[in-house]
Amino acid sequence: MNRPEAAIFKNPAKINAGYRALETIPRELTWRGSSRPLLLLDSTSRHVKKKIVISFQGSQMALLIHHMDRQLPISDAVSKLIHCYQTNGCDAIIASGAPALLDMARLLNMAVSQDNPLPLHQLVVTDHLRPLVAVICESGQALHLTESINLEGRHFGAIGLMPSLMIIDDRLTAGIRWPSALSDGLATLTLACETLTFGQADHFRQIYAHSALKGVVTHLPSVLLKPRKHSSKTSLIAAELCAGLSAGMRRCHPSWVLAGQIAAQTSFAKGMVAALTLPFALDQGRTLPHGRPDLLLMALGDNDCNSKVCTQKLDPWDAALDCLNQLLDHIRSIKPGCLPQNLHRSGLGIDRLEAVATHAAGTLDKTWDVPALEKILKRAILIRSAAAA
Amino acid sequence: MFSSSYFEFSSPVKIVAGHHALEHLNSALGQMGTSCPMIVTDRGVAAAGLVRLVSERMTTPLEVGGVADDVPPDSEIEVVNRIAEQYRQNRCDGLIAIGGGSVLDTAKGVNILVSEHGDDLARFAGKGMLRRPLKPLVAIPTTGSGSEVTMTAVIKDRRKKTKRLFVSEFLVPRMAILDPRMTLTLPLTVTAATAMDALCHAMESYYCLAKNPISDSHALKAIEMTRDNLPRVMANPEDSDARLALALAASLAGSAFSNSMVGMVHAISHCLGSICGVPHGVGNAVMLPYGLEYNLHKRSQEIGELLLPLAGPEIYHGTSSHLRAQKTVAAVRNLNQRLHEITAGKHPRNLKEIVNRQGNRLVTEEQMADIALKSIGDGAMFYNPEEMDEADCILILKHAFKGIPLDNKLVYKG
Repeated sequence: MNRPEAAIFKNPAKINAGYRALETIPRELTWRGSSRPLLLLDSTSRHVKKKIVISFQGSQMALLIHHMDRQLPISDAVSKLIHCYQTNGCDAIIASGAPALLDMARLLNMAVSQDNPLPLHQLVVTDHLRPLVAVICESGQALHLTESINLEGRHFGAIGLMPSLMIIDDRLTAGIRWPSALSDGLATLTLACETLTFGQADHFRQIYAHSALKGVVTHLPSVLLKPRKHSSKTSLIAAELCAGLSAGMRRCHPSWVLAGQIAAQTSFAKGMVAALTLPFALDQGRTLPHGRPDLLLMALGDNDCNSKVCTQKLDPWDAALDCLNQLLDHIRSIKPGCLPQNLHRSGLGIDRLEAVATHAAGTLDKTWDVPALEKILKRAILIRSAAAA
Repeated sequence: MFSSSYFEFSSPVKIVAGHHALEHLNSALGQMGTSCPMIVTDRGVAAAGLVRLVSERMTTPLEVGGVADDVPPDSEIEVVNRIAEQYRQNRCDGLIAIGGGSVLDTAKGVNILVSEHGDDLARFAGKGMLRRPLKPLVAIPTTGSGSEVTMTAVIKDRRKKTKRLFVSEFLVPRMAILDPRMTLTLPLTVTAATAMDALCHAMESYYCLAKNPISDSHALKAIEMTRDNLPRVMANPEDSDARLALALAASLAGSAFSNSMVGMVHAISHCLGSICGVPHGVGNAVMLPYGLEYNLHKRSQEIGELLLPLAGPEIYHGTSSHLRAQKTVAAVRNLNQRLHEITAGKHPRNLKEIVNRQGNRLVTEEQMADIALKSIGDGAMFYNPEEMDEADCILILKHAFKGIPLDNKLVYKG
């Protein structure tokens, strides 16, 4: 009997999430043998500087602060950072800011872990990475950190470069506005749904995707209903990280890949496009031999729904789609107008579908061919409501 | 839904799981920069040929630096010291632990001493006492303790008749290899005990005070996999798919409790081990229904939610929501009963059925006051939803001794 290859999984990031998570940074760095961290900030994170500095009061650590210059080309920026790090005898990195800054921090970590200085294009991931702390202050950042870095034609896998510690503090997530939370929450939903259903995920990835979905189902409506409930925003960010860790290379995620292209060409946010495409991708996926609607249902539905489907031998695809559409409709009812019924108003013309589908098919595995992807998009644009479909 | 205002989750072990997972060992050791690792194991594992199964996969330039195969059923400080000395003499540069919880904990203890160049293990007891990465440690479990993914080690201090707890992220092995060939020869009694141990880890982590959403997902999956695969292994010990699933379940349960802690079941079980010599998994199996009962009124929703992965959708759907928690307790008792029957009485259902090889009882009623006193002071008790005092603990032990359900009316708290 042919048995699958061994499943290999690693999650290198420790998560500290909740109120006063910032205050854990000094002891976490001390536990990792660090005493001179370099704090990287940019224009999007200047507002968190004071909170981070306060968290170090009384810690006897020498915190060095560096504000990233957005004007510099990437190689110059990293060189400047390396110089700053080494000149000041730093032994850890703390990064808080936009995705570009987070990538700089990861590249810096690679560079300073080399035995000898190497130009950017020759960097390799080693076992000597320094402690890297990512302080999340905006939605989407946790997801970004699970994505690989493409630099000058070279590809660096995300897992090897992930921060050793992710800080998600309620006081910082308080500043996340609901439109961002909604878009990134929907992106998380899509990524996790497709991992469970199409990703042929091993048990570890199933667990992280399950955790992500539970987080979105519970906390995304909560964020929309009660924008001041910062703990829900924190939980959504944690769900983002889980979804990203579960998704791997994202080659089995049609809605996700399609959304990336459509968002680049239209005014719709990626998460929104992904969520509007998802029901049709799931419906299309019924024909796949390895589809796992049961896993999706366990995460989207409650225990009573799941056990009812099992005992009454109901169609798990129908049940999973019902749960998904109910969730999306619930979101629409909380904030009318926040999520359209379809992609009709995205501006994506029917004449461009084939091109989008062809480009997406090049990224996805062979299961998703151009006609199938085109069909998904057509339905997402033309059908008034996924629930009715 | 229970919601903590703050949580931490960490599970950095690289897990390689599959029917040919052992084949990854050679390259993994090379990547870690290890060429002369020491193997830490016990006599049973060595006699079963499992050490040879591993060492055969280590090809040049790798070589086995030494084999310490005398780890006892409960890890002890004296054994740790002896193996550390052997490590230094053989100039090893890494560790491979092949065995159950005791072997894994012993290897972690050895790793502390050889990495910190120390000879007093007690100095590192507690949380956060280690400040830097230790030598590479690869864990190859042969039971289902889950220790391959935990940041803790529990090592007996024989002189002080206590168990010392070591907690640090640096204790986590670099890699855990889950290969069903390592558990195929595990006797059914040990299989039953370690599976119940894993179940206990998962269930306590789900309803105790430090629970978090990520460890919850780990726990639920672990319980479901144990439910599906323990009966298969008990019916056919050579079912390697089921063996692999049980090993995975144990790892997942280990990740769950490592990040959300455990409660009174472990607190009492630790003391049953240190005072009476009761194996950890056996103690957990017997005490688990009592832990559920004692916390029922405070965690009825969570305990009721556990019925779905534990008993399956038919039973869950067919049980009224207000009865699900009690049904969960009954399901655990039924599981212990079935295991007792399958093992011809060797898997105990209560404390008085726990015996040594000579058939002598390990737990006596005269020891209960001592067990209760020490249990109250165990760190795991801190995370139990309901507070416990000595009187309650003695009451629980008496019920567990006879194997009768807990009468909550007699309990002072709860």
